[in-house]
Amino acid sequence: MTAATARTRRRWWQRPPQRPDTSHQLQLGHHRATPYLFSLPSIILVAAVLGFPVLYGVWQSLYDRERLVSDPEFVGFANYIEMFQADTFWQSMGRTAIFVFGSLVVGTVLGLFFAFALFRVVEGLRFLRAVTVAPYIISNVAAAVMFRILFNSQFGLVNQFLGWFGIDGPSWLADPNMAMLVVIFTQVWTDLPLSILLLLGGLMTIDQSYLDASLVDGASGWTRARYITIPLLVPQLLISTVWLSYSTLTGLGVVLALTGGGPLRATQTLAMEMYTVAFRNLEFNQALAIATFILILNAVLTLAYVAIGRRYDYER
Amino acid sequence: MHRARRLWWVSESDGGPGGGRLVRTLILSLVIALIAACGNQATDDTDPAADGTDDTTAEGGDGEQVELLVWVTRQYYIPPDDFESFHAEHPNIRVTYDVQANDDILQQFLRMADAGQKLPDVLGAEDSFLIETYVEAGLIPPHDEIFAAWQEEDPELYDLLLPLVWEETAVDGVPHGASITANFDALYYNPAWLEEAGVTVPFDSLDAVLEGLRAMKAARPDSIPMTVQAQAGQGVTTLMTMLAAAGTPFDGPVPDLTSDGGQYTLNWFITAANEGLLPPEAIAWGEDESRGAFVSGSAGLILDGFTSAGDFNEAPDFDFGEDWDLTPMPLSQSGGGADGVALSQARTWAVVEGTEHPEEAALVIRYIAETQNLIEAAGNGSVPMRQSEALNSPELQEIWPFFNEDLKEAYLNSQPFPAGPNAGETTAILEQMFGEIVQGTDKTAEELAAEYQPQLDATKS
Repeated sequence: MTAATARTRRRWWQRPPQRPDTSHQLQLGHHRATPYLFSLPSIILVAAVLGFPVLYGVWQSLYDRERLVSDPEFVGFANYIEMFQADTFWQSMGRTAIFVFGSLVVGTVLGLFFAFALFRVVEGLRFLRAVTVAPYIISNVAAAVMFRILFNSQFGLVNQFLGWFGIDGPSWLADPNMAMLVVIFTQVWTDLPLSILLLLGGLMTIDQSYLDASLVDGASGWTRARYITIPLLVPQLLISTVWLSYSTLTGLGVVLALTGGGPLRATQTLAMEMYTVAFRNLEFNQALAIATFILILNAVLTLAYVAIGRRYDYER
Repeated sequence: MHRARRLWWVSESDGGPGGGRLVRTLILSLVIALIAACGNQATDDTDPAADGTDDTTAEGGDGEQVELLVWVTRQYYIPPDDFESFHAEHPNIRVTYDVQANDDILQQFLRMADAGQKLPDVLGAEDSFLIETYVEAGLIPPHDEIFAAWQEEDPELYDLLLPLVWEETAVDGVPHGASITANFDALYYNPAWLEEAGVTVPFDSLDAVLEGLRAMKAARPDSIPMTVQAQAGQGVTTLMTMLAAAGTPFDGPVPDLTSDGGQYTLNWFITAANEGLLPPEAIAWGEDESRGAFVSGSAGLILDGFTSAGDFNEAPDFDFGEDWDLTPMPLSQSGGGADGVALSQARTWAVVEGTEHPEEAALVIRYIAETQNLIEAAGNGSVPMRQSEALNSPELQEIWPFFNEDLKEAYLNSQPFPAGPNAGETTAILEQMFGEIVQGTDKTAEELAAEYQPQLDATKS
């Protein structure tokens, strides 16, 4: 199509096309470097505050110290080889998989449940949407201590409550399987508000006409949720999944304060293993190797979630 | 159109050369600012006055104003007057202190030393077993000259301190601090429970303790005779104290579980756990739950540090003599002569390497060691002192009515807690083993030793 043709097709209300004015190319607002120039302070700040410590940590994971205070010696990937050869590492990996998967399932199901409930909440109870955020603003260590008291088998409220119904409550934190359940529940409790807010936000952006049309077609509530609402929530579900997965994989505060990795290492996750190696064994370089592994695992999982999410993103 | 949308900072000229100049000028300004910032940082590193600590240093000479910073791991180790009388005695010295997390204080020191930052002048460390690591890192200098000066200038106070004060911090025979106070474990019991079960104290052997627990269980079948803490990350002081009492040899922090004492201790706990004398839930109990079980009257006996006595003494409706009392840990397996030793966990004070005022810093340690300050700190929640005058003071007896002669004797004869740089790793392994025992195990003491001793030995390398 020639420029002349384009001109003839232009309607009266349309603006004339702007000619490229090369005389202004070097003006600040049009220079190719300008966006980078304005971004430079942020780039430097992010690189200094976030990038450098990460890269320094990765670099330090390639060193080893014979003793805590001796000079570091470059050992290449020896710390990683040692890490992969350790039984405790693979045991921690297994427990972390259970922890992350459990938290994802429980967190997503509860997140959806509460998001739907808050979406449909009546006018006078909308303040509940704000109240939902409360667990998020409580320190996860404080939450863990609270749950430790709640689940104490001798005097905890949970077992007292069960006792009213004649049920002899289990030793929640002394039983290895139960302890992992309590850890998952506590972690989800601290992370859930953000998931709920994300999903609630997603629900509010769904075009009502889709739901109205399905109502006219006689779709039940579950059918509408299954075929319309949840598919349209995929972008928010994806973000929620990434958040829950990241928070659980790197989560240390809850496990440390709730069980300390016990009983019998039943809740010794990768993050907890990293803490143990660093602050109890005082082997900081080895701990950095675990930290780097967690970082890579997080990135890989996030990419996997994004890839899976894209397959089901019906709005794309 | 372009002119109309020109932004205020763009040159009024036609743009070409003017815009380029502006971009270059901005980049140049940024680079200069960065260089200037780096330059300032370099100045900060070398100029103490620039890092906000200008008032902590002073020129030499008599009458100079000196500011000292003390790092301590617990507030209650500081005399309750917050150095007020020290300031009155030494008007040219001002002492401030900062309470640091005990599990991070060494790392904090190392990070600051690596970064070239100014370190505190005095350290009050709870984990005295790490003193060797502090010394190795060059954070604590030899104290032989400091203590020689002390002995010369204030022989009266110096002589009041027990030899263990200097001996415990010795590295290659040279003291590197003063272990002025030390905690130690004793057996707390519920007098009513023991009376009901016909058990008398003091126990003359560890066997007698086990028999006492059995008697308590028989008298109260649904009770927990003895409570322990076995949660991961909470340490294994109970196990270590028992191992030492039974005469187990240690190599640094590593006990010999295959020894007679090691086997006896493992058997003791296996028997107690399998007979229901210890709560299996204790595997999830930290000190809070463990002490809570004793204070609430759910348990009849607890092996715990002396600091708990101070806490119990202040607990409402929990009266000394009526609801609780304490007795020393027996040091014999089956009676007769002593097989083992009592342990104490020292708190060490040291002058930090690189302080510009080592003499003034040493005065702070002397101040901490003064009789009245030790007694007042004890009333504030601190631990027993290795200072004879304070230890035998009627005032201390008033504060700690439970600190009887038996306990004093046990304390005075106690030995340093087995320690070494591998203490963290050792503790993690022992926690695992102890948890297994407390939950109830089918393994024998020999099998447990065969499983865990190689892991413990591996930490020595």
